[in-house]
Amino acid sequence: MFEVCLHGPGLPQAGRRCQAHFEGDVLVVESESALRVEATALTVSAGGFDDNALFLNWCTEQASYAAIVDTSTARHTLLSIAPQALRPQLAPAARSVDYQHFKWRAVLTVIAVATLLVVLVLWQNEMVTVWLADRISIETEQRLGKTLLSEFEAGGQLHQNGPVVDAIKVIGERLTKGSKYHYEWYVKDDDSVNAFAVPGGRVIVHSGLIAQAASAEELAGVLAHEVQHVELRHSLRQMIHTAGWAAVLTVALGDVSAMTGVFVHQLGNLQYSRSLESEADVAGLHAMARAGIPLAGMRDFFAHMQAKEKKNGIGIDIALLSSHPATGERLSEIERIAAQTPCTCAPLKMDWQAVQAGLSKIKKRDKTTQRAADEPDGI
Amino acid sequence: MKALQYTIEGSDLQFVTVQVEAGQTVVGEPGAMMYIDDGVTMNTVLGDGANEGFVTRLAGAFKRIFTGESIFSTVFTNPGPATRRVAFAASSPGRIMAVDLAAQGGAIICQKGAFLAGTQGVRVGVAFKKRLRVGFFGGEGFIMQKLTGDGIAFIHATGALTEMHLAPGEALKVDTGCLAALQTTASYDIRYVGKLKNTFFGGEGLFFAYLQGPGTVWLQSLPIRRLSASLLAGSLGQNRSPYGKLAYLGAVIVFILIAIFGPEGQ
Repeated sequence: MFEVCLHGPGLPQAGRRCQAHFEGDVLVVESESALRVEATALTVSAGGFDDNALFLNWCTEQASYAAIVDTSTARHTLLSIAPQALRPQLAPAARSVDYQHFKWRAVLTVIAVATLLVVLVLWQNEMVTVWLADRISIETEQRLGKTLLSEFEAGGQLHQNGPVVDAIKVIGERLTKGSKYHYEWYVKDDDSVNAFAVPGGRVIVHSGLIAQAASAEELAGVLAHEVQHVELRHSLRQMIHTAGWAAVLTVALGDVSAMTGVFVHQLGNLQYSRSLESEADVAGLHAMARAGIPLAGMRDFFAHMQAKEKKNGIGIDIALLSSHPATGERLSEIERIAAQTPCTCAPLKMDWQAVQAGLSKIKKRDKTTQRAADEPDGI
Repeated sequence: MKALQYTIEGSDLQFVTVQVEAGQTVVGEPGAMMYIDDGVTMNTVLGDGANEGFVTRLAGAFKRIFTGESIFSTVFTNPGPATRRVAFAASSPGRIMAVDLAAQGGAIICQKGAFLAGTQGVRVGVAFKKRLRVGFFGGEGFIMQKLTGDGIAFIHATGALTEMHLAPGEALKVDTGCLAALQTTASYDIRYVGKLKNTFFGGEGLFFAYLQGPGTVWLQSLPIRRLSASLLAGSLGQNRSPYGKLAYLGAVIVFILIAIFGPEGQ
């Protein structure tokens, strides 16, 4: 027995609610007078505005009737008691009704999950950025760095050999022992005081910085800091922030060329957020402690540079300070961490004056090569 | 309860005058009121004027936003003792029709914004069309109004409005947009107009609305879209020539050819 809403001639507009059941292969609808229909004469369809009702249609010689099964209990009863003759028609119609329910539940679930993801991403932005940066392989990072490096080579002479580079290499390799990156060290012929790291393990030190650093330990302090930007993948994280995740996804998939234009533009004025800088300070100090280099070097370098700039005495651009402001807060933070970090340190065995003297040799060699390089370009 | 007394007046720009008996209440869309007899109290409420808790009313009001109605309703009550009149006017040229919801099985589906007024207890809900193809091409969108209750609802539509009773299995192909309302038992689907010539030059668009009985359907002769299109064309001094369609077809073909054989990007 199941409830149907019977529509047909002589019945009200809204149809009449009545009970129906099967007697063998015959459908009996208990209207005012019982209507009897052979199951083979029935046509089953899914219909109604919501497409969620089963229609049992049949025609007599005079008129057509429809018994609408519109409640889910009635539908289940019908499905369980329907005779074999009706089943081939009933099954697809019932499936179509179920499909309507399923389809929208699926769509709503997808929308809900997507919304949840977006909320999560906005809420835990930093975590997602780190996770995304980790998805980018080291090879991709190195390829990216290589392209960026070629941009810098255009701006000024980069040196990969010579006594100065050797000195940097000695310190740098102590600081990066056991790293998963393969580092390359460069000196750029530039009087401004600056140093930076390119993704993938290329560190560039301006000759001006070496000239102004008072000792090898001070240089080590700067290197330790810059190297951590590579180790902690700060540049990637920064790029993800500014270029958007979509862009980084293309890089993660290996398409470097499409994005280098954007990144090169960015790296020119790449500035890390204060939290990333202090992260690099802390990790840099730890790296110095592991390497056994006196921790005071880092603090001393930034303090000296700050003092020099205040006096405005050296007459050259201390570019490093604009991206790494040596505020009192930062210096005392570095001191605090340095004091907490145990270190069996010994001063570096290096003749710093000799290293600085090596700079003039680079300069001289430049003058000749520069001219040769300038002419074909005509710039 | 005595049957509601009302008269629908005007030929193409209509209004309905409802005789409200002592203690009776009618609900109208904000802005639909034309006049009321002195003594009838007017009250603006959140939702559709049914007496319920605040949260339910708020949810109802939220639903109404989707159906093209205001989130508020105006409730007119006659404190008695005499019978007083309340009149509601349609906002566009067209017809007003009274629908006895009880006779239609307690619910009908209308196009957005069709509800004009009704006795208290007529609810305006959301009917969400679940078939994607009908939502996109059926001419009514995904969201329609569902009027439920057992009172009288006044619905209005642009152009002439006709009521048709479809027998079980009887089907009607209707231009999309001409469907004003239908009983919930009727099926609403779309059918491709058939033949490329019809598609491009027939002027009926790609699809018909396909309505199948049993159930009552209400059709409007002048969908607002058609009215505004002809008004716009008239005001811009354009007449619709078949060459416009040809040029459009040509542009589509050229675009496809460029997309296929055009220069390789990057």
